[in-house]
Amino acid sequence: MTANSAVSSGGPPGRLGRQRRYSFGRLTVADALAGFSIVTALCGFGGLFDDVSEALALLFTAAITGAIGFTGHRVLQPRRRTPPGRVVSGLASAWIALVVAGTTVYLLTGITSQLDDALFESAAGFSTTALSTLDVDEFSTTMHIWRASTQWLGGAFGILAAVIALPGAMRGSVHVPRGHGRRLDRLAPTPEVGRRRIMAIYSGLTTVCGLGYFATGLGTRDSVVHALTTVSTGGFSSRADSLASAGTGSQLVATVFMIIAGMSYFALWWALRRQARRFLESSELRLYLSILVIATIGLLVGVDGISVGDALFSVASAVSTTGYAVNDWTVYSPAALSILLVVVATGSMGASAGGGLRVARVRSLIDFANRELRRQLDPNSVTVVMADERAIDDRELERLTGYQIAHFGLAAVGAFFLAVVGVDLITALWTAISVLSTAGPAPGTGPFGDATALGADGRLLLIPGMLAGRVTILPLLLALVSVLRTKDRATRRVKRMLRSRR
Amino acid sequence: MRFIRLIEARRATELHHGRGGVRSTALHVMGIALSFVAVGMFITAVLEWGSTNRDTAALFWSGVICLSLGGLLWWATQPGSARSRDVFAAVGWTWVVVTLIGALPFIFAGTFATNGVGFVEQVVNSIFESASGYSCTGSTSLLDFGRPGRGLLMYRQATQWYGGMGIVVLAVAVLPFLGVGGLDLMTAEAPGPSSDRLTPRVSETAKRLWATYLLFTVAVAVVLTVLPGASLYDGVAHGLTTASTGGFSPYSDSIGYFDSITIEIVLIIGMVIGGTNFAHHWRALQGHPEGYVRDPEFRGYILMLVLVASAVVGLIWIDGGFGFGTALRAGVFNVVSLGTSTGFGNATGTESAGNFVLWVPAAQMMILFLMVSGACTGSTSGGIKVMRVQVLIAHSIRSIKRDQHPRAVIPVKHGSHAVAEDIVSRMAGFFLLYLLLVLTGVVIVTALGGGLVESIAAIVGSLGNMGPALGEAGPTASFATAFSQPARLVLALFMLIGRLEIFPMLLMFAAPLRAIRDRT
Repeated sequence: MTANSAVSSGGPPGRLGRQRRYSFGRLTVADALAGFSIVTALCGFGGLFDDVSEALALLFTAAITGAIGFTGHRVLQPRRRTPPGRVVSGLASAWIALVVAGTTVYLLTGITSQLDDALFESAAGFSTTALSTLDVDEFSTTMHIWRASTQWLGGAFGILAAVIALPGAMRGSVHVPRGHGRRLDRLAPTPEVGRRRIMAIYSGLTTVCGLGYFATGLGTRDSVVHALTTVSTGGFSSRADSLASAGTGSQLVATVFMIIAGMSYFALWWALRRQARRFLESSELRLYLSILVIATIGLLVGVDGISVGDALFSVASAVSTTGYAVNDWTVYSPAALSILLVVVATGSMGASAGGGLRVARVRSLIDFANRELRRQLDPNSVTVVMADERAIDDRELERLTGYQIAHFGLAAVGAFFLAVVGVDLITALWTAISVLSTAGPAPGTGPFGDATALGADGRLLLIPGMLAGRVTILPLLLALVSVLRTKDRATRRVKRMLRSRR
Repeated sequence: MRFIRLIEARRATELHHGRGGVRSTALHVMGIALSFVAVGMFITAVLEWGSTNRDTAALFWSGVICLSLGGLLWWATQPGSARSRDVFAAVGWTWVVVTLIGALPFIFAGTFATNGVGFVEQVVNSIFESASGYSCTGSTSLLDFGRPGRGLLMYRQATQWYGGMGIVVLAVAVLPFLGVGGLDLMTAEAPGPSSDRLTPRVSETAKRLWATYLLFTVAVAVVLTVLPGASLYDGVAHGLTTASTGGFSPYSDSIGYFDSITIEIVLIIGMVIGGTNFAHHWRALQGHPEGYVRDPEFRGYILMLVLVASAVVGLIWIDGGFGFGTALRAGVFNVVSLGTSTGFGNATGTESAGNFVLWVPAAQMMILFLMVSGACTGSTSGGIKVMRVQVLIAHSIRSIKRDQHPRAVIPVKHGSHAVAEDIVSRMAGFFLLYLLLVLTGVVIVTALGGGLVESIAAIVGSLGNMGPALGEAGPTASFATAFSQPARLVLALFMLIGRLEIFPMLLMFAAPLRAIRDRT
């Protein structure tokens, strides 16, 4: 128990009549497990008509995680002002709890008997990374949908963290626009309202996307699976060849919804509120769409015989960090591959389900570099870096640059360790960048993200990268610092106790 | 104060070279630099005349053109203002013009006129070779090392020696009237975020740096010459490119030609010294060697070399299938060569352990990282420099700490000294520009036909002034076969951008553009 979370006296009474404890981290874990249990239970009940043994395993896991999650939800409540370190460690703990729960399901259902494979598959699911070691042709419908649901939960987790949890706790969230106008115009006037709105948009998009797939002939099961993994930018597919054998209509639906999934939920909220001007005036959105167009043109020029649809699909899959494929893009020309790599590293807009550096940050970093270039000419000049209508102060810029340097450092370290376990140079570099962006496939893994090519050691190495990609990297480091401090504090407390007893 | 300095500068200018009517720092510095380069051409022309006598005329007439142009610019111009934009224009344009004029001996001699190579490609190859020389990169497009004469090959070595300490620094050292803005000129050209002043007078500092450089070059040349296996010619040739951490060799096998452990050890020591801040060398010569140990950058540089060399030796010994002795020799030499951005190779053939393209992926990845980091500030090496890496890591850690303690005042420290915020900011801006350039360069070079591995390594290597790349452009290969003509020109441009550490080359257009705007 941490020092802060142990402060229970003075808290408001809960529904059980007991006093509720303050703990952001535990509450986040409880909420995540509660969400997991609901999704798993739904899949379990559906599975009773498909494969009973798998359904029972799902229901068993749902019962345990539900018991933990709902109990925690009733006895815990967040502190009014949670320190940034605790917000981040809470998010990381919740993600790890989800991965553990997912691993349990893979093992109990017998999808795989290997702990490392189950762990990797679960981590890839909750981080919305399109890498897998399993043969999807052997899955039942229930497990296809449950596996896709892990990505759907991971996507929701990422958006809620980016829109509600992290901006409230930390500086330097350049993707969060300045709140102005009526409270109703703002996506998250309070965390509760924000959470409801985000989940409504997210669920609505999933439904419409699923209907789109169904209408274009993808079939019920595949429509549900692909809707869940498109809107979450996950990339898991119920087909071994991803969407390569799907019809043109389905591929078009996937392209449109991948692009939408890579958009900021602030922008989507403005579009839904019919604030067209604000939506269109978003510089991040314009840059995001410009990247899409320029990269598509680049692919059309760089790849012989590629159609506009395939080029747009490949770019949409890369920029939204989804990881679907309609052809073997790994044999594209080096120029096209380098464009795709840059696009994957840049990633989607901030406050979206996608990953990567994020368009807003890249734009701010380019503005920052431009400012430093101009300062060489006029060292005493005062230049402000703007994000839409908001001036980014020096502390935010400092954090932003520090964050990005750590991001590149982590990618370099990841690539090095992948190379140590025998992965070739380009695959190691690409996979490290791609996993940090939560995209997944790399030239060495093939277009459909076959992670067996990375070896068992390589796959285990990628799991922390997936956590960093989903929860963002500095928070992961903060969590580490926080854990170390908690350990130090606990050690000091034990020593004090021992001393007082003596 | 500025006014007084301007008056002093004007007086000095009138005393020394007051005949010219046009006031332009850029043209004046360019004239001086070209004159110095011409001296090198004439000296190597004499060597060529006395030895192989194949390319004497090419070197002589190139020298005449270079001296005429340089002399004319020097004669007809006076140093103008020393605003930042003029300084960047002076340094940037000087390097571009010196690179172009420096290609003349190769063009006149027909160095690249092999079967099926047209005139345009010969010019491209010559410019590439010249850029690689003056920027101390060491990449080559030369396929037949037997074609150029010994004098021309020595000129090729000398280009790196000029580029090592910097031709503008040389101009500041020899001509005291460039005192106004001299420090800015030196800083703009010198590797690293700032220039270390050894004395209050800038020209004295420049003189001392060049004197140390000359002494070091002579020392390496003498030691190599007295060793068995290397002639006086070999000693001088490799002395020039060791002190400058350039990496050119008159032989296609580079240092592998000698196949001598003794020579490799001498060169390893030479490269490590070349990658160290020359201000420390000067102070050590004055009896104060403690500067090395006190400098956190030097400690980090040595630690980096030791750790990476140990890891690479371990990797290529255990996973690479080479014996321990072979792995030790190949690993240490190549790590030092690339860690100091020299680019010498000790491969004795495409299948030898020194050909690092054959190494395991992890060892190649370390080489790629070395290409980024480079060695010390104030040295002749390339890369983003160890000091910047240290400060940027500290900056990143500070950001993490600040997330925990938003109100805390946490300075970024380098050693025990706090680094000023504007310098941290400039370094972060430099690093981001560097990354942007790498990404842009890779896209351009792959679009011009380069392979992905080759393009990434060549762009990183060109920006870091390394020399050999990976894949088809490894230490035993030529860039002429790995990259198309336009790609080679792009790489040549990136070499100059890397040598001048980005800012001068990106800002060299600012002064002319503002001048045009002011007139209109």
